[in-house]
Amino acid sequence: MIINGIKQEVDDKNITDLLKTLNLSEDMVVVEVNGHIVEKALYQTFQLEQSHVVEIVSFIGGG
Amino acid sequence: MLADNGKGVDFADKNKILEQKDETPDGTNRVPDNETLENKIPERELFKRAMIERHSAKMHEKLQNASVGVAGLGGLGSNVAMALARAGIGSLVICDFDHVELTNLNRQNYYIRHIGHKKTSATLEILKQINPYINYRIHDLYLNSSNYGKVFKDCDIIVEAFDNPECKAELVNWVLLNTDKTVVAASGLAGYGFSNKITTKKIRERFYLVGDLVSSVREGQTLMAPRVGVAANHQADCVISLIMNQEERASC
Repeated sequence: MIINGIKQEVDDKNITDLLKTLNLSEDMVVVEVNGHIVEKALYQTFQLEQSHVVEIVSFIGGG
Repeated sequence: MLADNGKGVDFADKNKILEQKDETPDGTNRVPDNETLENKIPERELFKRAMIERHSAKMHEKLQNASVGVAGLGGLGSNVAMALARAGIGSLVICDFDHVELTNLNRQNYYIRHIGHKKTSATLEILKQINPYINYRIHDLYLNSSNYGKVFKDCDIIVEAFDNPECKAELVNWVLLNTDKTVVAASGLAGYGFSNKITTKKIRERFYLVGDLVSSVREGQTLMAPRVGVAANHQADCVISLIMNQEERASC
C-alpha cells in the first residue's frame, strides 16, 4: 500500500485499523483513498487493498 | 503601471478630517464613537479609487466579487480577516463563539479595549476601520457540521482557522465531502524560529494546507504572534492567489 507517497507493508484491513497502526486519531484526520475522501463514518467498514494509494493528513492543534 | 483613470486620488480634504485627534482631557486616546467615526470615513468612491490605485482595476474587481468565510477568530482567523479586509474582499463571513481574553493579546488581532467583548464584534469593529465597504456577516456561534452549510452558504473559499485539531479535521472533511468550495487550512504553527518551514501545500483539489505540519503546542512551545502571523498571512495570500485564478501561486 502507498501511504503518503511511501510504499509500506501494512496488513490493516480497514482505515480504523490503519490509523491505529500509525498512531493517529480518527477525529483529527482527513483520509483519501485513490483520490476520494473517505468519511469518518466509513473508516471501520472501508476495505483497504494493497493496491490502494492512501493519503492521510493529521491535524495539529494551534490557531 | 497604475490602472487609475489618470486623475489620481485627491486625499487633501479627507486628510484634514483624518488628522483630528481623539483625546480625552487627560491626554489618553479614546475609542471614537460611531458618530465621530462616521464623519471620518472616506466616501465609497474615494475608497474604491484608492484600492484601484494600489491593486489595479482588474484585481480590485476580482477581489470585490469574492466571498470568503473565516472559521474561527483566534490567532489565525483574526489576522486572516484583517489581511483579507485590507485586500478589499467583497464579502467576508466571520465566525467565532468566544470572547477576547487577556491571554489572547500575545498573538491575536485585538486590543485591550476588546477584552471581554465577543471576538466577532471586536473583529468587526477593527475591520470596519480598515475597510467599511465590505459586506461583512458575523456569526457568533460554535461552528460544527450542523451549521457549516448555513453559515458558509455563499462563500467560495473557507479559511479553517480553528485551534482544536478535531474541529480542523471536521471542517475540512465537511468541505471536501459536501461542497464544491475550497478550504485553506492550517496545521503546525506553534513556537518560534524555523519560520521558513511554514509553507502552503496543495494537498488535493480544493484543499490547501499551511504550516510546518509538526509544531504542536506543548511545554516550552506556545503560540506566538510572529509564527501564527506567518501562517495566517500564508492563508490569506493563498486565498488571494485562488481568487486571482493563479492556482500555481497558491502553493509555492
